Amino acid sequence: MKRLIIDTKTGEQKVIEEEEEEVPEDEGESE
Amino acid sequence: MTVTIFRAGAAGGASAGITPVSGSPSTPSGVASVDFTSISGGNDLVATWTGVSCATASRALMVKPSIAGVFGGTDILKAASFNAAPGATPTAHITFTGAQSALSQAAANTCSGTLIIRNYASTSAHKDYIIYGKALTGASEVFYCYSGVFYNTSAIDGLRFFWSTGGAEAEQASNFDAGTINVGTRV
Repeated sequence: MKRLIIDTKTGEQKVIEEEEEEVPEDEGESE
Repeated sequence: MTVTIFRAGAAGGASAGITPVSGSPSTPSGVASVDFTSISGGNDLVATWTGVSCATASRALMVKPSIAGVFGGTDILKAASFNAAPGATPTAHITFTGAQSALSQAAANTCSGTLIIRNYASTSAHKDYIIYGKALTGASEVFYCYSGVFYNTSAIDGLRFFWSTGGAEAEQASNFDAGTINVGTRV
């Protein structure tokens, strides 16, 4: 999973890549 | 009584009275989330997004704050969803603010909206917000507006935009493929 990180103080932008995890797809909301 | 009229930002530009943070506007593509970090200044945090779309079907755009430098897992704002069945009555769509199901999305579906968090850096626990906008689902427009309060004695200092399914908080490895996100502060 790639994330765009924007440092709003410096304006620096970088893309980090996290290892893919098994993210369960949500089955609707339980409010 | 003082009435303040706020005009939401247009795509790619700043609105009167709003100071864009460095790095804004952003046009994310090929990434699953966009983190605006180290936000400071002003009183209110204002974000607008226009034409935002996901490369994967069945996704809802979500926003969550960073508090004291950490993107928590519980303070979630539902930014937009793509509901199936274009042409359904608004009443059917409005339920997405409370529950989402049967999400669907095609390439042309986009969402736009505005989030305002008042006194976002306050350490006096209460930080209220309003979020509103629309999602285009094929031939239909889904409008939403709701508000709430963050309860935390640390400042909000960041915003993460990401995709989920069903409106819950699990982040999906689904990429942005279009759109613009503006983040700024105002006094």
